[in-house]
Amino acid sequence: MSSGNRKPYLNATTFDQAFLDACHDNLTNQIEMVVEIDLPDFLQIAIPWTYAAGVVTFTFANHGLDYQNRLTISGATASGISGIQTVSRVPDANTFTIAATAGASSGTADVFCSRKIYASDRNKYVGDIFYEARVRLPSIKRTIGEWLSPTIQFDNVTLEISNVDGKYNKYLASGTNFGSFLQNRVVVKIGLRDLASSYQTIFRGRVTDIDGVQRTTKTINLVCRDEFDKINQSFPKDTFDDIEFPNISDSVFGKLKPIVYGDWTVDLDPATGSCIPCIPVNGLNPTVLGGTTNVQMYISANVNTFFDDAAVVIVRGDGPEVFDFADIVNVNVDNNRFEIFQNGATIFADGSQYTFKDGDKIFCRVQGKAIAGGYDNNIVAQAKDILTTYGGVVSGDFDTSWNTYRDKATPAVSAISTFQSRIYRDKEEKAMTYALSLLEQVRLESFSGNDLKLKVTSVHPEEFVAVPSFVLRNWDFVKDSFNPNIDAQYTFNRATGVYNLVPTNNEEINFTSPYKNQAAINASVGKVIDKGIVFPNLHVLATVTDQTKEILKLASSYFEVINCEVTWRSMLLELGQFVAVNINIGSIVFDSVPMMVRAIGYSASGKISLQLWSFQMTPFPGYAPGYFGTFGGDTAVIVED
Amino acid sequence: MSVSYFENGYAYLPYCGYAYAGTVRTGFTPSQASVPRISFFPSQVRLAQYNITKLRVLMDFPSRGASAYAITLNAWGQSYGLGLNWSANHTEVSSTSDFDVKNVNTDIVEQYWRSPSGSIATPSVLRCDSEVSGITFDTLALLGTNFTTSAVITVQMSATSNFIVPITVATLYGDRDGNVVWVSPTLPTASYRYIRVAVSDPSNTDGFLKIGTIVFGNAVILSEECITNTVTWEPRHYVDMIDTEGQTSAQNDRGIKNSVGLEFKSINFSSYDFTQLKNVFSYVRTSLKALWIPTPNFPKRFMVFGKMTSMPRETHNALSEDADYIDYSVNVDEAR
Repeated sequence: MSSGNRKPYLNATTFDQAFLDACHDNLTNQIEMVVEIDLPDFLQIAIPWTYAAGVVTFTFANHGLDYQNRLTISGATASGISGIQTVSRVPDANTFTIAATAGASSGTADVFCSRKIYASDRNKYVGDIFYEARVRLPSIKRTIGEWLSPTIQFDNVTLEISNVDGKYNKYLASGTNFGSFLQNRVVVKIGLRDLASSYQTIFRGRVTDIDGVQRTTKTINLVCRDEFDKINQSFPKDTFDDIEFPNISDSVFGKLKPIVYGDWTVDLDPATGSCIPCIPVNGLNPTVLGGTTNVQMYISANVNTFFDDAAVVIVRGDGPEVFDFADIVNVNVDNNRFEIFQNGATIFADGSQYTFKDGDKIFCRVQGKAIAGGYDNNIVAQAKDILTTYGGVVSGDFDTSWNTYRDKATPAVSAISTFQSRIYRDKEEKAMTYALSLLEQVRLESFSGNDLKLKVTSVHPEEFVAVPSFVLRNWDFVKDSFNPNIDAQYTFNRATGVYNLVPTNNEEINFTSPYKNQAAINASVGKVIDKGIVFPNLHVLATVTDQTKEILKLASSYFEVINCEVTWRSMLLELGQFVAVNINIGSIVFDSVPMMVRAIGYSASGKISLQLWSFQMTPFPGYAPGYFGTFGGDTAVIVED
Repeated sequence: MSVSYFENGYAYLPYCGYAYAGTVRTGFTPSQASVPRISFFPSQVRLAQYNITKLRVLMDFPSRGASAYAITLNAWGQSYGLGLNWSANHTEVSSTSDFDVKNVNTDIVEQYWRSPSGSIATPSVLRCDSEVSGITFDTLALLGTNFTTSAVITVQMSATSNFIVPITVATLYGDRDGNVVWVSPTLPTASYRYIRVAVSDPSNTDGFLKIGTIVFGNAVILSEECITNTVTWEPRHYVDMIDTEGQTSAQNDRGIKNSVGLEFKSINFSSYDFTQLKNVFSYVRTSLKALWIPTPNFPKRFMVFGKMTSMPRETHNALSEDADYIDYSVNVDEAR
């Protein structure tokens, strides 16, 4: 052919948007999906071997290895064996050989073999790996989750692997290499034909413990959960016990040790003065009950940066009374334990001295856990620290967007670096759920990105993209798939901020004034749709007011949520990315409307499912729709009600 | 000539008691006479009904070695019967050993042996130990190759694994469609244990050579009956179609696979060919791939390495016990 290349997918070596666009110019491509499933590793220490004539023969009962399996051999008792080797022959189920020249006639060695099932819905190579046509591939979805709801939705994937010929029987019950598959890692990738560099991982998970492996006469079905699901571990976990605290009272035994972040010396509950509960841990000691021994108090499992010994209060009867600081003794270096001297300098209003009683409600003021870089009160840094400390996330799992938003300084309504946040947690909560709830309070959301790192995106209008470079037109959308609707849970026209959760009564103690968008109320024929927006970790009124008003601006624009399917041209889109939709399909007309990608799904057929937020009626900096009836968005008039 | 009976394709004459000793092409086609060692009277003539004009089906592959496992080692140090009876003088390194020469022994054409990058001029030599004392083959196919038309393929046999005395069977050339097929023009009679395929393709722009599947052996060859002249050849394009709102569709290409449809008309129930075909159908069923070559004298035109899409449905025109004529059709699909 002397004309332009109409099948660039056949020989492309770069997989980017320009390539996808070029393919779309000719409406054809070759997107394919593959899956890799870990099998139980073979690792045996000190396997005996013998050597003769260039062949090393290992003896190990039911080894399960196959011809050409690659081995990592170490610790050989003679030269010439250790290193990467390949199984050259499998004489029987109990012996295997490698081709090597050993420095002795016999010995032992440690042998490791990592094995996988490489499968696809067709026979194909990717790079130097062959994927056999053995699996029915599901659609795989990633999502930012629900707005104003602290949930992250990690996909469950069910893989249906053909075992009609019994090829994998040896890995099943009664097989020689039975390993149950449970918790085995599963990776699904999508890319271009055999071009290894084009394949991106769209799912990385593990076979679930519960009902993770199912069998039929023809298939093995593996139910897998996203690996980030591991993040959702409960915290705090440590409990008070009578080993660490032999004289602990029954009312404390078994309770969780609290964790504390942020500044608990300001914006406190007026009913108690101080807010952080102090937990007695030697209350059963007779001498404590007798008033002759100090009461040992426990504040938090974490190290605190500050403890105010002049603000320890006890709540009895009508109100709080402050201990004389002379009675607050033996404050430890971690600021998370201290003792109260009984019958000391403290004289209460009724003239009595302090003696311990089981059930005393004692509170103090502290500044919580230190976060490196001086981010002790930063809500993004706190979320990240919780995920790291309690969720098992490692630093490499975080995208740089976490730091970007942690340090965001302008505009004032989105200046996260200046916002004050604090946490007191003595009840079990999922780490990821809690981190998301923190982010949500400052209009941030977290999700698993294309590179499978945890990313943060914002619902800050100043970051919205008025003229996205990626445009979706009629021929991108799968026929009859475009379904816009207004989501009731995202739609309200009046809101009140509820904030400052304190541990003294485990409730938010402050409220903002109610705010409303009167134009939006009018558009709803006067119907007021009210919502209380909760900010448990923010404690500064101005911050909460700003966030409440910003959320109300967006929610009162009555924006549409669009579920649709598009062609493979959109497969490199990222969650949170903005696209322009420019279509005209019957009653659906969008004229270069910016939309945010909220969910994206991949299928082996090349169809991409999207959930989009439409900003057609939602002005934001740089974007002025100009349509009649525009009353929400950045230009909305929000007033105190 | 009055043929007494057939056995394995050979026609035996009456009153003969000795095996044939050589081949002589008869003066008419499609038969080929294998003659004769004449030691004393009465003499024996053994006829081989060999031709290259009628449908042949290669379904049994001595190229894959012995059919049963044995502890005995073949020339490459592997036990018999494991399908590990090929070796290559060089192979591209893979992290998963997925370019190994064992791949030429599978029905998965897409899974291939690959030479190292840059090794296109130096002949790639793939050697087969048939794991039996000697075999003949009249049909050979190299499928799923990346050979160019400049590729030179030499097929040789030998009695020893080191090919000290190689017997050249054929010299073949590459083709753009990736398949190389050889049909012996005459009945092969010499049998050897070792076969090797040497390929050089200096102008191959891939920079390496690959072969998906190699099969050779003696095909089932029809001698009297055959298919009608109408052969249906159907390339099938496998594609994921995505209809869009733009009054057009986008495709996700999955590739092209071929199928061939063959019609059989009035096949004599009593004929040896009918029995042969029944054996083929019974063996391959719809589950085994076989190499179907409807026109062996121009083999690649309709050749398909595939499975039958269904068991043939016979329509009998049963005039009498000895006059039963059968129509049926066979469809063979690469994609099954």
